[in-house]
Amino acid sequence: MKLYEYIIRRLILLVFVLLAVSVLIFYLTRGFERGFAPWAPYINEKMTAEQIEEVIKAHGFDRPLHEQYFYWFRDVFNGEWGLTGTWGLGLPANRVFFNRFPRTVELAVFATILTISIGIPLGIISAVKNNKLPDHISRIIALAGYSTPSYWFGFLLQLVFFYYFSLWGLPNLPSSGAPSIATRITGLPILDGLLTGNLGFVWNEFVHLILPSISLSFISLGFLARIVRASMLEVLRQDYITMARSKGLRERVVIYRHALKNALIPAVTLTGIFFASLLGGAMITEYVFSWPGVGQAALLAVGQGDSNFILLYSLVFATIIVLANLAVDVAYAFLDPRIKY
Amino acid sequence: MSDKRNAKDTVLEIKNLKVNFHTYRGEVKALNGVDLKLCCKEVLALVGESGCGKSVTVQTLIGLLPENASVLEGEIILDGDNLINKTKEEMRILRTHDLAIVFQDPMTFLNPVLTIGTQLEEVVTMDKDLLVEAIAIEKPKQKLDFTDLIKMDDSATEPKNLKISRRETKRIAKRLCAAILSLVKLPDQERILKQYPFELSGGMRQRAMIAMALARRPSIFIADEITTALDVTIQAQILHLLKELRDKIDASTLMITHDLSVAAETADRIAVMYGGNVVEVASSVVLFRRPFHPYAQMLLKAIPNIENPTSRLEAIPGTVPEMIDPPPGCRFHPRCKYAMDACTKKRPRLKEVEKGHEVACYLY
Repeated sequence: MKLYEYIIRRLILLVFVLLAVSVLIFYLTRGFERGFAPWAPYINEKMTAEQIEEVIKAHGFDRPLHEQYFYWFRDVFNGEWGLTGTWGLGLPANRVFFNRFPRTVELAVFATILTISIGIPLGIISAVKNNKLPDHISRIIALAGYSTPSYWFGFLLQLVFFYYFSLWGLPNLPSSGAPSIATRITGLPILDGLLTGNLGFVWNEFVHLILPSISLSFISLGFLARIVRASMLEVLRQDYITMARSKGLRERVVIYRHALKNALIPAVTLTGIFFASLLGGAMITEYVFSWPGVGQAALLAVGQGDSNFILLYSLVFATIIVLANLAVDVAYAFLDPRIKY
Repeated sequence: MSDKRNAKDTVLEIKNLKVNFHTYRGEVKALNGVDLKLCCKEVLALVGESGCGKSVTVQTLIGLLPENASVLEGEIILDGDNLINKTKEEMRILRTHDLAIVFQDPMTFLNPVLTIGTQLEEVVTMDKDLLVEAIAIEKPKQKLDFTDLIKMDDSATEPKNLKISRRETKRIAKRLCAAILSLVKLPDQERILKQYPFELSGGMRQRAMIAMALARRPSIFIADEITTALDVTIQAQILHLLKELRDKIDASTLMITHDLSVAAETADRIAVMYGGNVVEVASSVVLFRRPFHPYAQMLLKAIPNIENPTSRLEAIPGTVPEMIDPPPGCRFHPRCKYAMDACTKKRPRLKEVEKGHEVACYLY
């Protein structure tokens, strides 16, 4: 089988995954009587009870759940995802989602870059200096990383870099929020800022990203460092490493050319899944830093039981997870020539 | 090597080498004073059973002992230098040129995720002299002959202009790699260079590994059980290749094997190891005809004879010595039927009993 056939097969499977997820979430959000009224966005306080009845009938909210599902399905096919609740000012759910999504992408990219650029070197140092001082230091950093609750670490960062730094009169980092967007071209605020030459905005956005990115990557870089250390130690015991050394190659070449490529496979899995879950929005971190991404929105929507937004959010998230897994599988084929699909 | 040597000159001498391994169970006394001489351009086979210290001797020689091993005493003299005193970096540089080793299993010793080309090229590009010489002798539209370059390695002494551009390095390295592969009789070199180890057969992989060793134009070529992981027909092909190469590669060969027939077929001289010592050294003809050491005698009796296949083979009584707490004196004495009092007290050293025939035993 060719690689593209494999990809197509996996994409066809994606359709079924999405169907299953939509049914599940639909029943979970609408199947309980005491939950959020899905007609809430369509009514206001001035309406009489009869008018409300009419709205419910007009939108089919009085029908059995499976019929409602088909109505929802039909609307979604026409690009109508329904309205959000009061948290989203009653705007269409898809508009709210895709206005916020670029901000989440930015945060995910920054946090992943931080994770990779710190986690992988930490893991390598740990493995090469196994059981020596650098290994102990790097393992303590990793342990601290994955045992620290991210919200707590977020507060800590805010406290130090915003509160104390401004108290001491030092240049401080903003603790929360994001600058308002000036122009939209691609949708990604930083990229748009660069394209329009609005460097002030780019800097401002970047500064706002620093603390949430650090807070997010701190957990995952610990995991990544551990995985890289373990697989690196395993690879360094292999015969082909002895062979590489026996050729008289420099230790640097032995580690980066011969060992790392073999050791990276588990790290790629972890990074791929980590990046995908960040694209779904880091709910707590976005909430703590008031970062206007989809994670924060999902938390607000769940708080109000807003099924329209939750359905959209779940389906996009499911798609991202499936695609990320596919990307990881394809990456394997490039890292290890023995893997064929 | 810059000077011309006589055939009988010693190129490598190992004197009283003792190596211990630290383990949780105690000190493993792996080498108990190994003495070995490798003469110029000869093929010396080091034979012995598993755990007798053949591989440790080689690992010490190339400076790649595991971290839990330490050299207690002894010398390894190569070109007048004691290798034991060299730093890691000095040993690394020696491995890039003088000491080349081929290992046992071509499947696990080749990196599975790098092409044969990458793994061969990295050896070639380390040797700037080789690149310069290759550029000097290359002719357009004609294949490079690597044997010419091996000859040049001995003669050329004057310093050369070592500046080659990156592109030029890449181009000449490609041609060199193809030339080396054709030296080890691998066909269709361009394609093999682009392939990964798993795409080649066992024999081809072993040839590729030999190519990586020969690419360094070594003065000492070490073959560590290179036929053990191969099936018999491929073994024969690889041994045939080694015989063909021996005049071309201009190196002294140290061959490690536990297979006496392989040693008999390829080696000029054979050194028999037992329990961390070399117990007998002789030319391969003499050793097979008239072994002196009781261990060597019994070892030869344990080989099946094709002309008399029904007779029961003689086994050596007892088991391989425990290396943490080895028997005192001669490590073979608990299994030896000629054992005397002296054998349990002091280790016999190698001495020449006949011309070119050394044995470590109190019987002689």
